[in-house]
Amino acid sequence: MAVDEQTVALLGSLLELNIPEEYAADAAENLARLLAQAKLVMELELPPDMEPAPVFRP
Amino acid sequence: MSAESAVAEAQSVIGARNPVLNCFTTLYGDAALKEARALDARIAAGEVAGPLAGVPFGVKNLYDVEGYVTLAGSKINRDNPPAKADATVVARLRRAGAIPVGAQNMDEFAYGFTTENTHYGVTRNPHDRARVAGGSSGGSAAAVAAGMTPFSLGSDTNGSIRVPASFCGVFGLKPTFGRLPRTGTYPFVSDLDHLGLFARNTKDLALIYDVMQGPDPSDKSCAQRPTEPVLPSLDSFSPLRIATLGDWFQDGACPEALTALESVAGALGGGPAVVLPGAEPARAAAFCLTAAEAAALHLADLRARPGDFDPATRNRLLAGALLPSPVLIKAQRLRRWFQEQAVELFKRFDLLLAPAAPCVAPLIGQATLRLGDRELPARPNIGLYTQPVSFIGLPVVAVPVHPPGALPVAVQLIARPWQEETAFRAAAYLERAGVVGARIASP
Repeated sequence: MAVDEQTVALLGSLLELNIPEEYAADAAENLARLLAQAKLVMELELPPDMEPAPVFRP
Repeated sequence: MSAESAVAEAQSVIGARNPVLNCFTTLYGDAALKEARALDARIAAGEVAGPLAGVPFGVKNLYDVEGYVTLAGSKINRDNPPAKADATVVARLRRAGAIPVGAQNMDEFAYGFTTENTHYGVTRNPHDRARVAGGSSGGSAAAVAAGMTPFSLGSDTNGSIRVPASFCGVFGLKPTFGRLPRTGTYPFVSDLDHLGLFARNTKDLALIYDVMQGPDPSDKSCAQRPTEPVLPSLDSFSPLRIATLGDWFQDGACPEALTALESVAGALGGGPAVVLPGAEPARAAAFCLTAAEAAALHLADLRARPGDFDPATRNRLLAGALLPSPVLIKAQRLRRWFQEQAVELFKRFDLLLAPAAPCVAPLIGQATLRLGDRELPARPNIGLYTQPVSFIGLPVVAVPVHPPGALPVAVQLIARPWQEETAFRAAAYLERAGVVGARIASP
């Protein structure tokens, strides 16, 4: 999935993270790589009752 | 040998070899000698010498050492005040008589597998100075491989002890997640960070690990388990049910890694190749969690001073900050599921084997590496075989194999959670048999 610099800038702005122009291309390339890995995570079907690993104990 | 002599000797080797290999970012110099002399005086006055009395060691520079700034491989941390106290495990080692002689180079904020650090330079592999030492605990592994210190402390989130152990040809220990308290260490990914160490033989590895163990209530992620020493039973070995992890864990591996795996498996009595289901998405989940958690940790600095990061770290952190949240929730559920897959395998086997890295140490600056018939970016793919294992916190002893005339590699001996003893006994057996071992790389 290609990610462009405008998308990175917009996403960053949601976090008040201003990504300087000179870093935007590399950030976009890294985000594309990350999203490719994220796709593998999202595609794996898990049993619906599979709880997240961390368990909070009050 | 007095503590002072031992420290002076270590400092002499460091002085001779560190200018080329760049293992240390800070040397404690006279302070370490003073500490050694003080220890010698106390022993002379009747104090019982601890089990590590006078043994010099190095620490990856994310461990707090009282009086020094904890750099964590960064420029940003230079602005921090010096540590007010030792990290818990450093304090334990000091109480046992060991003497820290310096802090060691690492990938910035532990986010890397090569220790090519923009701020502090590259750490060179003692076996081939044109190659990397691995990362992110590269300085620590290389210092041991070069004979500078008998042991070094490292950390491992996705492979940062096991990969340098492989590339530098030394023993590396990543215990069970939560075994060693992380109090007083600079974090990378709280969900995945493990502390550990390097040594040149299994007895040292075991002794030092035993000294480091023990609960620490000030670390909420540390399991409050009693100390479970491995040294007393190190030399007793009985046959284990062994399996080598195939599929993902051998896909694209270089011939050296596969040959080492075969020789280690054969020496332990052999066993089937098995599949650990879900290794690829598990590695992907670790990859995503790492990027997102590290980004959250560094968000303030990413906003305020992005130019002060190592570019390789910065760009991944920026990306990690933008990862959608459902990915992270799913990654944590996947972690639980993948753990259950491993539990199933451990019903049938006591020890699982896998290469620690898919390749021998790459060249410094090498951008890609060949995995099978694919040319892939080097840095993110060095940890392919380590990431799924640390994702579910399994204990690993990485055992080095030195093929004649070739670069070293290591094999992961992976045990059930809290069964470090199993991995240690196997490692010691392999060492006695001459199948694995470390040697000081010649200058």
